[in-house]
Amino acid sequence: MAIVLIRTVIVFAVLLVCMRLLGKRQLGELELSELVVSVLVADLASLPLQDIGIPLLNGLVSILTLFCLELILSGAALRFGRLRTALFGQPCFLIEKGVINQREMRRNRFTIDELTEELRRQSVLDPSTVEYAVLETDGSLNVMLFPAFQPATAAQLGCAAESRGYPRVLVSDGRVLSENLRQCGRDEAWLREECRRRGAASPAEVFLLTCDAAGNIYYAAKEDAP
Amino acid sequence: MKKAVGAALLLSAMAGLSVWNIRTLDRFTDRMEEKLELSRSCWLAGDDAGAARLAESALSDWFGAEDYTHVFIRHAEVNEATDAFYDLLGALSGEDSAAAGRAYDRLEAHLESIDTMEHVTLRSVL
Repeated sequence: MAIVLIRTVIVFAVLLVCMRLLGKRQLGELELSELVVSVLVADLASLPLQDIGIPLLNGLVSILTLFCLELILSGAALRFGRLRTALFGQPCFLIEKGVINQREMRRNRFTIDELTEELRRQSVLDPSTVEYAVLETDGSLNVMLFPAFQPATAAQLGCAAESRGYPRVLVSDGRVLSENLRQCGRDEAWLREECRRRGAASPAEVFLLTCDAAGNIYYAAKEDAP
Repeated sequence: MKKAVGAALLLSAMAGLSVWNIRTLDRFTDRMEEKLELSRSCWLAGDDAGAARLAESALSDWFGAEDYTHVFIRHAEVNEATDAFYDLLGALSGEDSAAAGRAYDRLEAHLESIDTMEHVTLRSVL
């Protein structure tokens, strides 16, 4: 049991260091310690299940150890800024004022193909329109365009824009969501009437019906299965 | 932060349980080895019946601790030690002195291996 515990701590620490050295792009929107835990837990959990000769306790001890280490590390990182930087790194600018920072690209093992792919994913085709592209600690890339290339907001255009509120789903695939209906301040009689007005005999014939705070309704009838 | 403190406490509890396990296993295997040493002394003195009686008593202790051994020790190790006990009893009843000597050695080596496997040393960790 002690050996399992110590080995888990060692493997966790080694994986943490290795993955930290691999750079942020490996993380895939998980924090470093979360990625290490998710890499290890699946295998650890399956071992005592596949081999009944291994005491279940061995699997449980290692999983609980990982769980504790992750909680302790994330708790300590929350409290100590330097530890947070050492463990998770800092966000870094891959593009600054329209200029690609090649040193940061190399440091994070980020290829130009990956950068352009990330930009295209965010509908940006020309890097010169990007004021800042920030590689976050979880490996995701946030892109901020120069103000001249950003879409104009209603405030910038001087237009009055009213919030229509959050549209709540009232019928989902023929099923009435009573709690949402109640939160909308409506009842089933009102819902049946709205369905009837749109040609459905009952909510069971509705694929999707939503209603926002302003009373706007989105309606989609259920199609017959082929 | 409360979660981190809870996790640290849980980790400490597991470390404590590990230390308890090492001590318990130490005492358990020591007791077994003492009985086997007594049994071996009887066998060396020509008292095969006394040797078999002590070996059976050790086997009975071994089975008595089955709940503990199956939770903390790999089942293959437990089964191999049980087989070694039966080999020893077989050798003692067959009055084959060479086989009995080997069976004592094999069983003691198994118990020693189970004990050292849990000890925190560089070799066992790596």
